[in-house]
Amino acid sequence: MIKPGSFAIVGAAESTDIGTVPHLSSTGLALDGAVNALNDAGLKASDIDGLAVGHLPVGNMAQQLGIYPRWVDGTSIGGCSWIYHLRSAIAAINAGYCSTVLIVYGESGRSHATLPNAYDVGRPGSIEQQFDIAYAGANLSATLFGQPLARYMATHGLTEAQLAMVAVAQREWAAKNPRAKLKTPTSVDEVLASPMIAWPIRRAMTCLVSDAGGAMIVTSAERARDFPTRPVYVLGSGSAMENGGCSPAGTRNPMEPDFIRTSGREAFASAGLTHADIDHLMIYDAFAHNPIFGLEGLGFVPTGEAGGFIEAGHTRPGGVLPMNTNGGGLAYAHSGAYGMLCMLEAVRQMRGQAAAQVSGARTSLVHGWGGFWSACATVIFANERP
Amino acid sequence: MSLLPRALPETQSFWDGAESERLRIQRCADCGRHYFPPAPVCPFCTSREVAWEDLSGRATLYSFVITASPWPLWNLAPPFSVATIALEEGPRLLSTVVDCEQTPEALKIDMPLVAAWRTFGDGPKLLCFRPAGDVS
Ligand SMILES: [Zn+2]
Repeated sequence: MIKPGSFAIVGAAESTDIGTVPHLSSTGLALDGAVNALNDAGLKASDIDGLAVGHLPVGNMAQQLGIYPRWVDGTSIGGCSWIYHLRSAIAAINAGYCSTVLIVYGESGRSHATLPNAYDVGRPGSIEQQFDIAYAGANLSATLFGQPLARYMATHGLTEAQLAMVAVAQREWAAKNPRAKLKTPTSVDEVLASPMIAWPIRRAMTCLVSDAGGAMIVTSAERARDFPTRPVYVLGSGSAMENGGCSPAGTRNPMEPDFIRTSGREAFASAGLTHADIDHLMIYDAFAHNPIFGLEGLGFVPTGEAGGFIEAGHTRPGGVLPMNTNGGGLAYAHSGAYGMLCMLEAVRQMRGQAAAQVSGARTSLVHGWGGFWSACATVIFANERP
Repeated sequence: MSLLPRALPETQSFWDGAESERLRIQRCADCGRHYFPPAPVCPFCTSREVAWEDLSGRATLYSFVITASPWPLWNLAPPFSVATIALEEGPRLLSTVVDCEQTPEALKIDMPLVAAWRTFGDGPKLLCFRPAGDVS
């Protein structure tokens, strides 16, 4: 076991521009985020001896940054890959394989989405290409991620208005954030009047399509004091994988997925914290129902009650559990694999530098998904070493 | 991304079955369970003693969405359902419900279904499901 707070984020940054960035491809966005993170930490490329990159070839990234890593991780399992990278980087530093790891993300999900990506689903002969894609239709993110939702609504009485409230609450956070794409407040009526994408999912319950990059640098807590930035300590983390491919049909329990529970339990246990200790929360919201399943799977809210919890205002500004405070994938930015952007908002909150700062926040939990009910990872940050 | 299903040696029997409108998946001789997707190893007990079986085609509607986008691959106009189907024998798989109004009112969670076979566009014969009605 690694003691809570033994490792810290000492550099963290998004790409200079996010949203619509036509002059950069995924690679350019990744390089821009990496350089910003290096500058943030006051490090040169030659100071980096470990490199993790998801969905883009890690070797190309090393070459283009002029980094000669002793350790690399190219894990590409969807949007949570970069949270996995952070876990693995800590283990690698702990083992002595490297000392300073740069974790890089870039995705031109809007301007150059047709360029290949190492996570492209549907390779010929793959499970999803044979058994899912033929049915999933043109908007497969919504049709696949949306699979458990109708049954959840029938079982627990979640209403479309409660689902809409997820988008309404997050728009309130986005209104405080100049970098957010959608800053105008919205209402349940307006969300429910937005075009149907895949019943019961409407456009305003669906993430944005953006271009974005970002990167972070992790090292041991002992070294963290030497950096110009306020260290953000990693208290604990968890991860789990359920299946590959796309469809949640093969998930053991799509309604109460085991992989969320496994990842969350391990994150809390390794951090030595309980739910009451968490001041700030990021739950990857590709769609409005993702935070509902996340709140319950992580154990913040009993099964079937997350819709009411959000409707009661507990996650909006001023609520007891501020969630997705950058505006989330629904209102801030979502370039396809959102896990790095989730972590970067948590780092800003822990540094006290977020656009919509949660005053007094000392801990933050980040939970990301990979694929569609395929994998997930969880990390707990703090701004003080325990 | 190639959209047309491409069979592998390990899945060919499923697609051969589909051509003759038979729903065929594998069952493990050691633990007795059916599983999906096809593979030469049982995912429940790692046994290699697995064999193909033709199923009844009886199933229920586990969950679904109704997409509002057209699907050029099958020349399919919306709305159409993208559904998680629970086979009577246990496994769940992704499919669509045909011969049924594509509305949240007509598509009911846990409604009984039976296998139906459709060819869309230039594709192979595809496993779909239709309401079981009074078929018992
Ligand atoms: Zn078996």
